[in-house]
Amino acid sequence: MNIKAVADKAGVSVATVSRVMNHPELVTEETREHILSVMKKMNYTPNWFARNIQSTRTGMIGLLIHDFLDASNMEIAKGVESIAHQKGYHVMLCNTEFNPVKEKEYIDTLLERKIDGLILTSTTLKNSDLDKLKKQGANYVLVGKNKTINRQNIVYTDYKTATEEAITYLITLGRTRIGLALGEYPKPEIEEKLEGYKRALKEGGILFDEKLVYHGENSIEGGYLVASKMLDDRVDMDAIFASTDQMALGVLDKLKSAGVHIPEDIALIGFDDLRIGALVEPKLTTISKPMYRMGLMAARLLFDIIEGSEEDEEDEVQEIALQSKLKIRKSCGNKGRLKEIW
Amino acid sequence: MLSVEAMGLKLKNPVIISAGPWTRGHKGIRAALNSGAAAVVTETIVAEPYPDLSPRYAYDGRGLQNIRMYSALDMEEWIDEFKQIKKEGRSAGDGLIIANITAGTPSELAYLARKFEKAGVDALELGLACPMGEGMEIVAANPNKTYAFTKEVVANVSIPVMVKLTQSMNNLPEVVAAVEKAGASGITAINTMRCILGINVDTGTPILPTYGGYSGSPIRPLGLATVAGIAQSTELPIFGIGGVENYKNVLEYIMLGASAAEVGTAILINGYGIIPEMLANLDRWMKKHHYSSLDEVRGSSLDKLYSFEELKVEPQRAYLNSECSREDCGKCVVCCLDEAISFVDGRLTIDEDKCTGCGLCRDICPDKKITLKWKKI
Repeated sequence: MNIKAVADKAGVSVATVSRVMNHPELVTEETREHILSVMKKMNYTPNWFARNIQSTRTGMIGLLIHDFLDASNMEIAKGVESIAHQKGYHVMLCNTEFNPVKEKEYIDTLLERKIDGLILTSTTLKNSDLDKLKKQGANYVLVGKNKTINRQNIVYTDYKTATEEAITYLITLGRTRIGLALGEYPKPEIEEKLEGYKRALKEGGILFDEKLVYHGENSIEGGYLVASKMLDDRVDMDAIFASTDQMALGVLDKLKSAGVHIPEDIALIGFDDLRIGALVEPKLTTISKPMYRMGLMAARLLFDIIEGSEEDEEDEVQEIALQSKLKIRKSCGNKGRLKEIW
Repeated sequence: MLSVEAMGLKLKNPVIISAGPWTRGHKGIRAALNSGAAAVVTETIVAEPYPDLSPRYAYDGRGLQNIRMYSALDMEEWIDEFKQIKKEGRSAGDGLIIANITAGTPSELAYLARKFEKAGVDALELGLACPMGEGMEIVAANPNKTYAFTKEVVANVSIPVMVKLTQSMNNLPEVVAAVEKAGASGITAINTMRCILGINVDTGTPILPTYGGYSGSPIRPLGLATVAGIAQSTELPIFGIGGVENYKNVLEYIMLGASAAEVGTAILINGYGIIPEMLANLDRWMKKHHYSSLDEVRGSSLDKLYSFEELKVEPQRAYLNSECSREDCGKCVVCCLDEAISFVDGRLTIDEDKCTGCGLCRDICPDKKITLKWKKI
């Protein structure tokens, strides 16, 4: 049973049948329906392996990120592109803005256009959705974990432990009333950071106080507003942990303009190691995520799948954790110079 | 006669070229193999390379400080280098190739391990003890972390895995036990040591702008101590490294329990020419002492090392074995805390009643005229 038999039976050329399978958008609905019903009658199942060989000639992989303006996202993109370029592939960059509908749309479109592989960062898809993708023969790798994800090719950082380290450090510096300025997305990351915060408090013998947890937009303005609320609520705090450097910068801005001394009155730690954090006054203590390396490793995993041979077990997945680093600078109250705690 | 079997591998002699920028890429590896060494360890390979800083070495004639953060080549470039090596072919007499790899997490390390096993290396050396930057030596001194990293790698490859340890462990038996339990096939010790080579006191500037790794002759006593300690804690083969410059140093490591020695800084400073010389001298030494195999030499000095409680106070005193012919030296006089050495009627004399046999003058004398002997009764 092959494509030629289908073409003969349907009274069309082999090229038309091929087009129905690979570029359905180029065939009229009538012709498409006709050929599909012929295939069904003949119980024709396309040879997926042969199709994949055909489709590797697109030489493209898709990278879905949630915010083009986010410096961390662009570091991932840089890492991915670096590997892809070496392999002779191009990268198609898509902005999902954490919108599940947008994400699905992009994935569907890219797969229809025979993209060779996908890298999904902070995916909103559930494990069951991903397994469906796998069954379709899609090659994909995830960046960032969420609770539903299980047995997938994934590169991630442990946000819980990273946050726990930072909060523990504040506690060793003598801070006990540590406020949180949390963004809203990506939700799994925020949850992990909150858990890490709670774990550190528990270890340090400090009671968790909900009143110290504030949510806001993940942006400089968002951080500014959160700090304003904190001051307005007159919550007693001696440190603030912001879930991103962007928010931390906004917090810093507001506190300084309100005459609060950092770190003397309130110590401040952010997350992401934005370069500008090392240039503000006081220099921002932060956790650096190995984003560029995440991009490198995600792309490497993806090409392992794309180039995979029959020897590789179908079910074999690779999970790679990458280490984050607490970068200690003046804003946390540490008198010494920039140090890195591994 | 010089051949050694360790980790299921056959080494044609006990000299290995250690990890460092001299073993970068196919050119570096080929040069190392051509020296005649039994194996070569690649420069430490990482998933995300750091660029080479300038300057990155400082040498004061004795020890070397380096501020190299692993290989500046990335994984893909390394894999290409290995393809090149395969293309050029390895002859039957060639040494083995061992890839030194490191990472921030066990899963990242395991990924590198699988890649380089596929690339065709004969063994892996886990560089968990580098003192630069984030100070990986924290990992190598932590039994749990060492176990986690090693176990993940061992579970993912079938080639032998060696773990490179640091001098900076105060819990050596625990770390060694962790390495064993994790299923490693060998231990390399020691890595370079965290150092600041010096300060220019006129400008207040450190010679290099950050902490670095210290290597070369001055660290050899530290390496020897660690190797002896490891040899007393495990049956795993040990690869001694730290200040190996000549055949005697190779033997020192072997006599304290090592199966082979790794050479690094000496090659950087003096070139690969020292290797054939080392091997020829080892051969000569073996013949002179009527040894047919290094198995007879390995660990032979360990039972001459005693614990403090076993040491007895011996009544040894310093004696001149021939007249001192120098008039204006007097170094021994200055260093004697017991004031036992002096010039009597112009002749250098040691008062055996004042002398308590500390042994310092014996090494201070530039002419080697002083020996320690049991006090004459």
